[in-house]
Amino acid sequence: MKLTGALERLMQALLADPSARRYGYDLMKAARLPSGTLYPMLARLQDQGLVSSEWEPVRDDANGRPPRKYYQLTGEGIRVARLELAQAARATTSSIHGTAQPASGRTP
Amino acid sequence: MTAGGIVQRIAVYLIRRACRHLPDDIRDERCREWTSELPAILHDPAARFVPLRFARALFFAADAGRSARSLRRAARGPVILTRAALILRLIAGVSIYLSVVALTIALITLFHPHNAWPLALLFVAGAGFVTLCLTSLARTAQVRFLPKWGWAVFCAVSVPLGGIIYLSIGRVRAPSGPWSGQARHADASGPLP
Repeated sequence: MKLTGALERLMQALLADPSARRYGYDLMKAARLPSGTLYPMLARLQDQGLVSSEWEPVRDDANGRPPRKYYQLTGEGIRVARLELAQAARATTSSIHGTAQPASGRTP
Repeated sequence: MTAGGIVQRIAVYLIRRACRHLPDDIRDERCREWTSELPAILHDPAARFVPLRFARALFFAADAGRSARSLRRAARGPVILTRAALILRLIAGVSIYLSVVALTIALITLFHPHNAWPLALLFVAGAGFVTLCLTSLARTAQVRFLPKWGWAVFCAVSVPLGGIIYLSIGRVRAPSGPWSGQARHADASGPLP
């Protein structure tokens, strides 16, 4: 499957600070994705070993807020995400040049 | 009870309903995960307008149904249809097509001499349907019976029969990874540039 726009935004959101642990709503806002897109995508990335998740420990100062699940890129996830984003950026650049060249050739 | 409390209860109800679709081994955990997001949405300081928070919480909960269906498909693995299931789907597809044709004829005979809007409506609906089919085709990893370009031509030329037949028997709803693994092959073959 290609690197879709949604996946690209999710990778960018996770790569913004690879050491940060992010919860679902935080990622939804950062990647501008609805929950129905985000969670299946995170599950697939987790199956592939690119993302890890852990439950927040129960805290006394949480004011009754239930513990949340946090997501983070794994070491391999960081490598793969950087590579894929770089390849996507290169593909965009080359397609821009590809359409620009014949047009510039025709101009005197 | 406050308005926020009512919204939270509706959202929890919607999430629980969505979680019923999930396989046993992941149901409870997903349900806990999604409900634990609600306080963050309902008290999000970035959304100053309170009804916006409510709308977001409800949309989040309603969309959990889509997550649940997708996770269930992924847990089941690729769907392999038996011949009987394929024939049933084909019959369903053809019946839907015939109903659409009947509805179209009814609309045109009822309104056409006086009114042009049914035609415009049908045109827009047809264009939307073709777009939907082509998008689905572009995003799917695998199709049955015909190559992808064959289905694309069929969908575009025969509206709406091509699209209906594609959606009923041509589409393979297999869970697939976000990446086919190219990056990892590239990764294994040498250091990054």
